[in-house]
Amino acid sequence: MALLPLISINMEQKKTQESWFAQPLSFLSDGFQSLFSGLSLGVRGTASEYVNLLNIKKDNARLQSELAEIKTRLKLFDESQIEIARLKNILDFQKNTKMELLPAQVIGRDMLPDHKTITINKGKKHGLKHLQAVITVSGAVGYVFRPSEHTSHVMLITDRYSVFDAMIQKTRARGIIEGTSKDGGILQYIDRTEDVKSGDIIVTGGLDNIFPKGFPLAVVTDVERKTKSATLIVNVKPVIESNKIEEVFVVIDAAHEDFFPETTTAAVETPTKPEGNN
Amino acid sequence: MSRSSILLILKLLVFTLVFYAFCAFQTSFWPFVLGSFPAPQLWLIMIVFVALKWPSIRAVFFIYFLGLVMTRYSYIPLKMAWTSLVALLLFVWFFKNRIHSTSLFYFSILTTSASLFYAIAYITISRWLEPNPTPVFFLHRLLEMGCNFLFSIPVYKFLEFIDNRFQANQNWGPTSTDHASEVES
Repeated sequence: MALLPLISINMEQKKTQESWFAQPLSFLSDGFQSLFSGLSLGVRGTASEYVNLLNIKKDNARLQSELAEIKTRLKLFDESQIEIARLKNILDFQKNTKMELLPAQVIGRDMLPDHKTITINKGKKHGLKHLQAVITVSGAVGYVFRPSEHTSHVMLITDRYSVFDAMIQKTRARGIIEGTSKDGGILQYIDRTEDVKSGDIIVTGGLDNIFPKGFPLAVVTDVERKTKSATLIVNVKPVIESNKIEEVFVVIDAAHEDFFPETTTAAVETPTKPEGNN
Repeated sequence: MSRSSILLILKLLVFTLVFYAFCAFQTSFWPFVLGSFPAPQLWLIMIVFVALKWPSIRAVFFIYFLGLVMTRYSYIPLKMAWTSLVALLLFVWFFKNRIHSTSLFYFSILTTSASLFYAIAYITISRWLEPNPTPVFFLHRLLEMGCNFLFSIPVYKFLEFIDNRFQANQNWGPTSTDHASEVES
């Protein structure tokens, strides 16, 4: 009975040394402890990863939302940049010309495909009258034909009812542009001996008392030479795409301004697309 | 002024305002949202509705008036507007007097065929009356007809709702009860 306690008392006196019979026990306990500790670490790690995953999912959703917002802002920024450039261009044009111009915004288009007209947000109240020229930085658009108090209708050069005095910039040959209600027009009464080629610039002639002389009007797309005709049939395309016009100028007073050929060529060759909504 | 007269005036006023709204939608909303894709001719759907549902004399004068309104939204000459609208009116009446149906599908088919007829009539009349006739615009008009077919259903529902709101004889409850008691006795 007393033997085992005595042995244990004796063993307590040599604490630094592990007894030979305790070593396997310690070995086992160490092994089990290490095993469970490892297991515990694994469980904690997995749990922690799971919690992290949950957080990552939340973070991901938040970041994606932020990214979408930033992308939207960037698009708006790009759009604003384009608009600023366009408006600056328009402003520069208004500053650098002698003409008295009234800026207007396009608020409507013709109800029928058979006619090519637009409605602008300026009318009699703003000083608009019948047959005033409507232009953009890149070229002629049309003329005011039905001014009302606050808005006005503008007949485009592509309408089949519109007729304008025009001339070929290079040869100075005069003719008349008639609209076709499609996307173009026909330059008529050009002598068949004239040297007209595709790509030639047509400018306003100035005799119609609507447009100042020399303003870009259209570009030649095709020339028909009929054998029995004394004149050419020149198909033209306006320099302004009528379905993309957003802002225009109404010429209140042309101040006898004529555009030099060099200026018009530059204006047509380096279009800034002020009317584009791309 | 009797109640029915007031209702009639109100109906004409509301239909006129709706016509203005339809035209404005087509000229100032659609092109700036969907670009150059052909817009549905809501005004034409409304004219078909008026020709189909309203009494003849009233429909004729109202459609003439709408033709006048149309010229505010387009460069269309009045002679072209009125002649083409009268042709359209006659076309609708031709079917109205032969096919009696109140189904929505019938209205859609009639609207689409009226669009086709209007396009053909307009091109023909243009060649007859105008020195510089209009081009055919085949694809544009075809797409317009497709849009008209799709939009005719909601527009019909909307116009029918307004039309019913301003009907003079709407006392269905008491009238039918009285009528039932009369029949029983």
